[in-house]
This record gives sequence, C-alpha cells and structure tokens, in this order.
Amino acid sequence: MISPVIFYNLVLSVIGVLQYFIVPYIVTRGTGAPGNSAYFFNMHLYKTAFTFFDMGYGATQAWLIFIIALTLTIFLFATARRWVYYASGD
Amino acid sequence: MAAITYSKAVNTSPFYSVQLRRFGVGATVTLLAFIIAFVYLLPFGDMALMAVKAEDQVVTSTEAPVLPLEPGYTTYEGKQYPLYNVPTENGVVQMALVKKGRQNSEFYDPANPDAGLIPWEGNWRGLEPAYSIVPHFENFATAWELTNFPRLFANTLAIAITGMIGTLLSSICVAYAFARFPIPGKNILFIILIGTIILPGQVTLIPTYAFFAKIGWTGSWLPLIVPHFFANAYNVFLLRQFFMTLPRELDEAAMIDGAGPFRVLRSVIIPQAWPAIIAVGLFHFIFAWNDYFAPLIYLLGRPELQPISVGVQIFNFAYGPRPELVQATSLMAMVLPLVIFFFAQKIFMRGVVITGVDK
Repeated sequence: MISPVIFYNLVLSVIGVLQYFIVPYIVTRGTGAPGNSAYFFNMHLYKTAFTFFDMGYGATQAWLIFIIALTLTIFLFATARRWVYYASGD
Repeated sequence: MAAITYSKAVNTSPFYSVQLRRFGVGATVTLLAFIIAFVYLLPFGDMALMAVKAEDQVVTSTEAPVLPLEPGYTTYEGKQYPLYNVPTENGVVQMALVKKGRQNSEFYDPANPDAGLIPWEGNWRGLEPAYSIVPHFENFATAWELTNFPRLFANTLAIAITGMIGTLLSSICVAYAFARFPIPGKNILFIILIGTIILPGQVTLIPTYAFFAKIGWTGSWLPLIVPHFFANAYNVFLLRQFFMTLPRELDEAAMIDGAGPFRVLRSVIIPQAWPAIIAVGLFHFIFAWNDYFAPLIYLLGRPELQPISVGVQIFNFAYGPRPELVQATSLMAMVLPLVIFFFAQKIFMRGVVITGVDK
C-alpha cells in the first residue's frame, strides 16, 4: 500500500544524491579532503567550471550528470511497474 | 530464607516481569528519543540563547559563553568595580576588584562591607570574572522596531499564502491529469516533468532572471508568486503518487451520477487526498517563508516589499553585525510557521483517520 510513497522518495533521493554538493563543499572547503574521499562529481564540475574557468568542459560534465540522472530515473520508472502498487490500477 | 522465597516468587511472576520489561523498553526508547531530539534542538537552543544576549557578548567578546552571561559589577564609594571569583581561605568568594596590582590587589566584598578593602596576594589577571545571567529581552523590541517587523511579516505572509494557493490549485490539477486521464505520451511527459527536478535551480537561475527582467517584473512580487501558479514537479509527483492510490471505483460511481472531471476532482479526489494536499501546502508555505535567494534578487532595492528572510539582513549590513538581533528576528519569524505546523498536524492526523474509516 505504501509503495507509491516509497517510490516517490526513492526517485527524489536518487536525484538528490547525484546532486550532492553543498555539504561536502562546505565541510571540506571545496577540497574534497582527506585524499579526495569527499570529492563528489558536482564538486569536480564546479572546480572545472569556476576554479579553472573551463566552462565548455564544465558544461559537458553537467550534461553528463544530467543524462546519468535521467537514465537512472527512467530505469526506476521502468522497474516501478513490477513493484509499485496503485489501487487505481495502471 | 523467607526473603529468598519471596524474591523468587516475584521474579517468576509473568505479570511482573512483562511489566518490568515493558517499562524498560519504554524508558529506553523514550530516553533515546530525548537524546536525539536534544541533539536536533541544540541549534535552536543556541539561537534562542543568542537572541537574548547583549551586543558586547556576541560581537566583541572572543570567548563568548553559551549562556547570556555578563560580568557582574558592584559599587564601592560611588564607583563601579568588576566582580571576580577570588579564592580565599573561606573558599571562593565574589569580590570587587578595587585596586589592581601585579603582586597583590585590593578587593571589596559586597557581602561583608564592614571589612573594607581586603588585600589579596597574587595576579588578578589569573582570576575569573564573576558572571551572572542577564537575559536581554529588549532585543526583541529593538529588532521589531528596526526591521519594521509588522510590514516584513505582512509581506512574507502575503507572498507565502498567494504562492501556496497557486501551487495547490495548479499542482492538484496537473497531478489529477497525470493520475487519471489517458493522455498520449503521458509517460514521456512525466519523465520531462521529473527532468525539471534533475535540473538544478542554479542552472535555470540566470535565464529565469533575464526573462523576468525583460518583461519588467523585477522589483515586484510577481516573479515570486506567478511561477507557483504553473505547478511544481515535486508537488505534482507527490500528489500524483497519492491520487494513484485512490481507488477508481469511487470516480466511476460519481461519473455514473453525472459528475464531470472537475466535479470528480472536487467531490471525490480532494476529500480523500487531504493529508497529501495539506503536506504540499505546508511544504510550500515553509519553503516560501524561508526562501531567501529569490526575494533577494527580485526585490533588490525595494525594502518596502521584502520578506523577513531578506529584511533581517539589515542587521548584517546597515546596522553592522548584530547576530543577536538577527536571531531575535528569526525567532519571532518562526512563531507563525510553528503554530501553523501544529494545527496542520492535527488536521493531518484527522485526515488520515477519515480516509482510513471511509475505506
């Protein structure tokens, strides 16, 4: 009965985690220290675009993460037919 | 011997042990909940304490104590002298430092005025000032006046309520369409909708701002309110998920009685979906209440239109850094959302009960 809500949270948290940026950026002051252990993709994107000012490559990386997130979301929607139960049918 | 049999009888009694275990489990869970709640409430406590601190204590003191403490003073022969915790033969005594000296100083004991000046051997710099708790409740009045709080409050309320109405109207309609109607290419449309969540707000910020600047809406509330009348992916997704769980039979029964799509929405779907609708309204209200960035960029230079989140910034810029006034204003701003949250929770619980009974 609660699977629609679980599905909602799953999709939103997958998207949210792929955009994980603020917490590691503040905690490690943008370095990803110690030893890149807190260096997330979006931090790399930010560094490429706004530290090294390689806007073209940064934009490409942004597109890459967008496509990955979209693919994962579509994949989740495809699996949803198997395990998400809607009382209204569909 | 008798005592042992007694204790055995008590221990083997199933009622006693079950009760004891229940009490133990209950106490552990409650204690754990209290610890977790305490950790989560720590920032709030810090905020509340800072709101009643004096300016000196927050801004100038490098080692500010957590509590709103102030060094004590006492008058001696018409002059004010700071109080110190002085170790003497009779334990630590609070005494006023009258005459400072490197090797020995002279103190005055306010509890024992007949003794006059008491000499003390040692460096007074090693002594700790005697603090006393002095809450400055006048911070609230100062913040209220300097920010023109009623105007900020009215602005925030107007923006939040109109936006909330807009987001509820539009999100309910869009979610209803996604949940119930056979639209060609519905799945692709829905993925595009989810795609707007995947796109971070920072990406769309500059084009959105340029657009609103071109049509001349900057400097007004329109960019903060009108977009919410065109639905929001998070809310549509949440409501759609909820509407999908409602059985179609009730819609069909209403349709047989001659209800059109809007009638079904109003009389069948919405009464069953109150918990989700209240959740969406509440989320939007709290989002709009705390939203800082959008009002900041769209209402720049229009202080008479700004909400609390932007208006409170005068204590960071116009009046210099006054964190205690920022916290006092924020505390006043929190009151209404908290009250609304508790009332909404009541309705929320009632909504859950009603849907549970009706099914």
